[in-house]
Amino acid sequence: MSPTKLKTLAFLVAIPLGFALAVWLGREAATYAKPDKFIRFHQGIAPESLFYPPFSTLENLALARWSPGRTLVIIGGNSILNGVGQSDKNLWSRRLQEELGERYVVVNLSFRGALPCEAGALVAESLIKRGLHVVLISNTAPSTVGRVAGGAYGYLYYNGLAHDRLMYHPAREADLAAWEETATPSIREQQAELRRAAALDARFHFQALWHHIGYRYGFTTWTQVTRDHFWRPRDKIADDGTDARPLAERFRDQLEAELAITRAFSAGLAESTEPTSWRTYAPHARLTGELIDAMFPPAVRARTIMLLNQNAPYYRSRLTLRERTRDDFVFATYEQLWRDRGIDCHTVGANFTDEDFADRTHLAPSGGRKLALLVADYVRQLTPP
Amino acid sequence: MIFNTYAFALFAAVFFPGYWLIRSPCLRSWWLLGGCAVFHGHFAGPAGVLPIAALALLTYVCALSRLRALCYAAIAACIAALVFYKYTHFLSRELLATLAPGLSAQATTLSASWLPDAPPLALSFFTFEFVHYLVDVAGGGAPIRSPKTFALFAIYFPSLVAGPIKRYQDFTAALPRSLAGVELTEVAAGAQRVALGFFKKILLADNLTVALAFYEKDFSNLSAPEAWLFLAALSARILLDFSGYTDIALGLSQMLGLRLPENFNYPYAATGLRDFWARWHISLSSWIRDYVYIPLGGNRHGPLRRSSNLIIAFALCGLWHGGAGHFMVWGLWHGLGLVVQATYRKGLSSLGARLGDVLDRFAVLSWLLTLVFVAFGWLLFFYPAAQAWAMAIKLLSFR
Amino acid sequence: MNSSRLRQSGALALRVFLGLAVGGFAHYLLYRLFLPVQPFIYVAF
Repeated sequence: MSPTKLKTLAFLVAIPLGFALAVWLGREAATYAKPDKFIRFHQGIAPESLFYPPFSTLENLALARWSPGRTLVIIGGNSILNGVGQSDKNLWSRRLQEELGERYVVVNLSFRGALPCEAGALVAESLIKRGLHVVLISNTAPSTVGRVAGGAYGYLYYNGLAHDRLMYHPAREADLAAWEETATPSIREQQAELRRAAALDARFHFQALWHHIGYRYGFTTWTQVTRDHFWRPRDKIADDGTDARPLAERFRDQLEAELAITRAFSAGLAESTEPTSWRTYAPHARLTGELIDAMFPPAVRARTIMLLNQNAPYYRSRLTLRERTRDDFVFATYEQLWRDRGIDCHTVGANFTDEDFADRTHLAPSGGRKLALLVADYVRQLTPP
Repeated sequence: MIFNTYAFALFAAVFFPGYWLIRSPCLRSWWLLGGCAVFHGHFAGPAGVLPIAALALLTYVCALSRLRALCYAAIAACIAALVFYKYTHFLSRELLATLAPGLSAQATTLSASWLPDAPPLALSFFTFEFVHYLVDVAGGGAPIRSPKTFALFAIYFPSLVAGPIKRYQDFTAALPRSLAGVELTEVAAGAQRVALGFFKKILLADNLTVALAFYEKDFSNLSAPEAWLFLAALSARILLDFSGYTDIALGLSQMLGLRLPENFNYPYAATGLRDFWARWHISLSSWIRDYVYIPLGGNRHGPLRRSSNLIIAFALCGLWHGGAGHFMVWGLWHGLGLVVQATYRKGLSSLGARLGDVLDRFAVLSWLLTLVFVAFGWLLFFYPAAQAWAMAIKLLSFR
Repeated sequence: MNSSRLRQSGALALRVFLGLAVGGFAHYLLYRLFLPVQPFIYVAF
């Protein structure tokens, strides 16, 4: 064989070998890769900075401190449970762990902007499927259920599905198929790409390997969040969450816009019968119920505590009497609606003070402490010794 | 299904091994055609495929007749389709709005009801290849007889998305060799080039694109060095993006055993504008030269005519990039630059001659001048003229 | 003789390394395509 041909052959044979080596490394990484000293997903290790922790990372985090005989308390949900308004030292989930004690392992897998059925909820589903004793804490606004696919964290659903981590729940698949049929062609193609990515990842494990490399050795993609040092490994990027500003500086920004949001929380969900008497707007309540059924498999519902977060009293006190009664009615009604579907649901924040809120919706450290006490109680009720 | 998608990765994983494993040239050609059709169908969708299929059929039939009148009619149809899909908005909103505002409003409403949201993808590339084919056949060239070969020329997937603009003589000569068998050295060289293209695009150009989008919002507050760095990044980004794409296209084609024409030859090393256009988007600049500049008279009728031909050719070159005023201004910028480069030695008499001598002697000066001229041109290429002007003023004020 | 063989072995090792790098890069690309990728500028034309 001529030297040229030999070199060509060596190069061509080495390509699949290099790929196979990376696949093997990825397979290994999927079993151990996770952020160190993890407290929560701060911006440096979250999709805001193009770091999309794969399903395996979330599972590794959930199982890192767990041991047989202990109950795993997985926190899903959005920025409120992620602890925006609290520094990592004062994070409410730390308080929750202290309150619950050694029998429980608390892991905060919430993300900013996540829906109650996304991310943490899917990890809880996967671990319940594996037979672990799990409690899921999630949160939302009264009528927001959303869908596991289509949002910023939808990749985790396809990722979990392709890795065979999720429960068989045909209602969810039927709902997603129906939703996709009504979506625009570009959204359909986007979803198809996510499915292709997940299917390829299930075989080649590229997410686990390259996220691990990005976390440990260096990142290759410029992002606005990390603009001054985008190449730095993400383990060098600290949690930038801070405690709420002093009370005198809170709430005043964009008062009208925040008030409008506070009003909108219940505006479309109830119809007036008399001046201060309300009944549920039936189509919306029906849709919410259907989505709860579709997005939460029955086995997960039985292990879920759903928190409906009230807005800060600073804004609620500025509502008219009529708006306040509607607000109270909607929270109570939807709390019952979630319960009727088998999910333990509680409204939180209604009796908190302005001091407890960092802004309209997020909690300050004192609010976080109150939340931890409440949730610890709910968890103990759901998991009697 | 463009190159940076999972759909393409899956397509390539099936298509390429199939192409290499099939031994019969005939079967291979069908496999290639099938792959091209799947690629085009997925890439453009039915609304994008149908107009191209209609134009391709017209082009094929008219060229086959070898009747000049029919060829010219087909050329007119291709150009009309391009103008209709790509320039109707520009003509009704920008040009007509200046001349007859009332008529512009009517035309805009009317065109909105006719036109799809976006023109068929890669329409400009298709049109230029079809026009080249028809002009050459009308000029006595042999048409492609086999519909399969013509279809392959029309929708050959490596060059379908954004060129290089092929010449049918080269393509039809290279195709049988590719169908007969692919050398391992070609596959290896192609794979290397594809990797290089993705490196340029994904690791370099994409990072620059996102960073530039972030900093351009605050351009007026950048310091002078930062603003010049921005300009350098803008220039690097378009080169890396487009030459990255071209490397992928050429590499993929090479992996099929077929070499496509080169599009770049270190353009930022050019020491003059003429030199730059001999190195930048070569398949477009040579098309413009052969099918616009030379038919207009080229440099055959004296300096004045030559200058006007250059300006017309480059204004059209600018407009080819899209129906927007700033593209035309960018074309005019380069056209005028070329006119100045061609005439300043005589036009400025002794001063011009001296300046020419200095630039000849110090090539680094010519290089720097060319680079800065091209870089300022990219401001016109990417931004509306008024914004580009403000950015240029800021850059030149060094504040 | 020896130095020519050494050169050839070096060239061969380089090609193997290059092949491994391209294979690894293909794996990286699968990850990178998941993050937002920018459309090719000239696709719009």
